Amino acid sequence: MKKINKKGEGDTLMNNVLGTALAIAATVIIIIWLWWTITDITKDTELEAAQSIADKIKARINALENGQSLNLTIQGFNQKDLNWYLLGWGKNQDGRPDKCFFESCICICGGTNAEACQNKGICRFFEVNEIEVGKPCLIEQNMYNEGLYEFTDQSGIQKIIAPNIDIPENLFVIQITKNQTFIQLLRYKQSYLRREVISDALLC
Amino acid sequence: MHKRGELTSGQIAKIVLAIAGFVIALFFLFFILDLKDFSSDEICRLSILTRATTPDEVERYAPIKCTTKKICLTEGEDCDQFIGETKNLADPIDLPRGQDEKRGKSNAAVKIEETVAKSMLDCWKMMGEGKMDLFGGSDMGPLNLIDANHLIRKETSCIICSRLAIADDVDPEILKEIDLNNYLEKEKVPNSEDGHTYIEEFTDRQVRAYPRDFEADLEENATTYTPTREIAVLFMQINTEATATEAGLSTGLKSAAFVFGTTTKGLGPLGVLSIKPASILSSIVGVGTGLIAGFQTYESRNIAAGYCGEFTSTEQKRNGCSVLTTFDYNQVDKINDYCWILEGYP
Repeated sequence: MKKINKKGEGDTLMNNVLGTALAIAATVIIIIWLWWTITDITKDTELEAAQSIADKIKARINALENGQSLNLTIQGFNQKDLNWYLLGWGKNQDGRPDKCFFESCICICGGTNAEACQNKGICRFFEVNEIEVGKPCLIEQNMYNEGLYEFTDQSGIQKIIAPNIDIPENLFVIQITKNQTFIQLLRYKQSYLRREVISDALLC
Repeated sequence: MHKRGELTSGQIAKIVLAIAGFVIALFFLFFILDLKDFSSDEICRLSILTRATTPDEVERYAPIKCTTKKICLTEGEDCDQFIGETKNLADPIDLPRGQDEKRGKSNAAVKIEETVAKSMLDCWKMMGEGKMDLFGGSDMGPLNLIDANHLIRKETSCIICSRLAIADDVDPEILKEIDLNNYLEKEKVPNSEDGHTYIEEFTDRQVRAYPRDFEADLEENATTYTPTREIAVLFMQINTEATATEAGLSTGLKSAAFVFGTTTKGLGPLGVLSIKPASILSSIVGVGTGLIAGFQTYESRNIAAGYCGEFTSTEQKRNGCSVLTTFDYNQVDKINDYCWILEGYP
C-alpha cells in the first residue's frame, strides 16, 4: 500500500527549521558585530579619551604607596569644541561639583569650573581628605589671577600655581604625590623636573 | 509504526550537529577571533581614508579615530607602563628563552626586534605609506611659520600608532642585543608575497641595503645612554610648499620613499645625500640633537622611514614629508618640540 506523506510532515519541515535556525544565529552574530562597530564610530571620542586618562591616573594613584611620588607621562588629545582640564577637589572643599559631594575627586572636564565638570566631566574618587591639582607656572609680574596661589620652589623663584591643568594636544607630564590624607597632581615640563631651571617653567 | 511528532535518529543527529556547530562558531567568534581589535583597526583605517579624502573646509568633522595600541613584551610579569590602560591593549607577548644560534643573539631580543618591526610596518601601511595628506587642513594662515630658508612650514601633527613596553622582569642585557636597523635590512616581512625585507617594503622596493658609509656614520656618532623600556611608534607629517629637493632629497630620489638615520651629521637618505641643517627633514627628525632613540643602547642610531613629495589624496595637490620612527616615550619635551598636535586617542 502506498504510504501517503501528510502535509508538513517529515524531512522537508526539519530541514527548513534547521536552516532557519542557522540563519537566525548568523544574523544575530552579524548584528552584534555591527552594533560594536557603529558604537565605536559614533561615540564621543573626546569623552572617551578623557575617560582613558582618568582611568590611568586613578590606577597609578592606587598603585602608589603612601609617601611615594611618580612622574607620569600622559597622552593628550585633539580638542575640537571644548578645552579640557584636569581638576580636583577635597571632600570638604567648597565649590566642588555634586558628583564629588561625598568623596574627594579628580576630574577631567570640558571647562575649568564645577559646573563644567557636572555637565561634561569624568570624575574618579579617592579616600583622602585633600586633593590638589595644579600647574606651577610663571605669570607676568603685573598680572594677578583670582584663585591662584604662590609658592617658592627649590630654585628660589616665586611662582603661581594655576588651580587646574590644561590638557594639551600632545604629551604632558604630571607629578603625582600621595600620602595618607593628601594627593597632589602638578603639571611640569619634563625638563623642569630634571633641572628646576626657571627657563624650563611652564607659562600660565 | 511512526508516532506523530516523533523524531527520527537522523533528525536528532542533524539537530545535535547544528547546535554543536553553532557553539563552536560562537567560541571561535568570542574567544579566538578578536573582533574588537579587528574593529579598532578597521575603524582607524576608515577614518584615515575619510580624513585623507575630505576637503579642508570640513576636515574637522572627520577625526582620526585611531587608538594607540599598547603591546607588552614580558617574561611573565605585567607591564607597569600600562597600568590603568585598557583601550586597545594587546595580549602580552611572552618572550622566548634561549639563544638564536643563527643570529647570534637571544631569542628574546629577536622577538623584540620582530615586534617593533611589525608595529612600524603596520603603522606605515595604515597611514597610507606616507602618501596621504592627513593633516593638510591645519592651515594657520598668517601664523604659518617661515623657517630660515623662507620655506613656509605648518605645525607638525603626529599619530602614536603603538607603544611597546618591556616588563621589568626582562634582563637589561637583552636590550643591548637589540639592533632594529639590522633587522629591518635583513629580515623578510612575514607573509610577504614577494619575500621582501622590511626595508624594501618601506621604500617601495627601491632600497635593499644601507650603504657602508651610512652604517659607519651611525656607529661613529653613537652616544651612550640608558636604554628605555618603553618606545612609541610615531608617524608624523608636515606640509610644506618646499619641493622634494629643497626638503633634502637628491634629484635622483625625489618623491620617493626612503629610509634614513638620525645622526648628528645630518646624514640624508641612504647616506649619500647631505641634508642642509635648516631643511625640513632635519627639522622633523631632530638631526643634530640625537634625541630620537629606540630600545638600543645608543642614541642617534635609529632608522626612520619616510616619504617626501606630493600627497596624492586631495584635490588640492600639496607637498610634504611623512616620517615614521620610534622614540623613547619618556622623552616628552623633545617629542613635543616636533609633535605640536597628537591626533588619534590614547
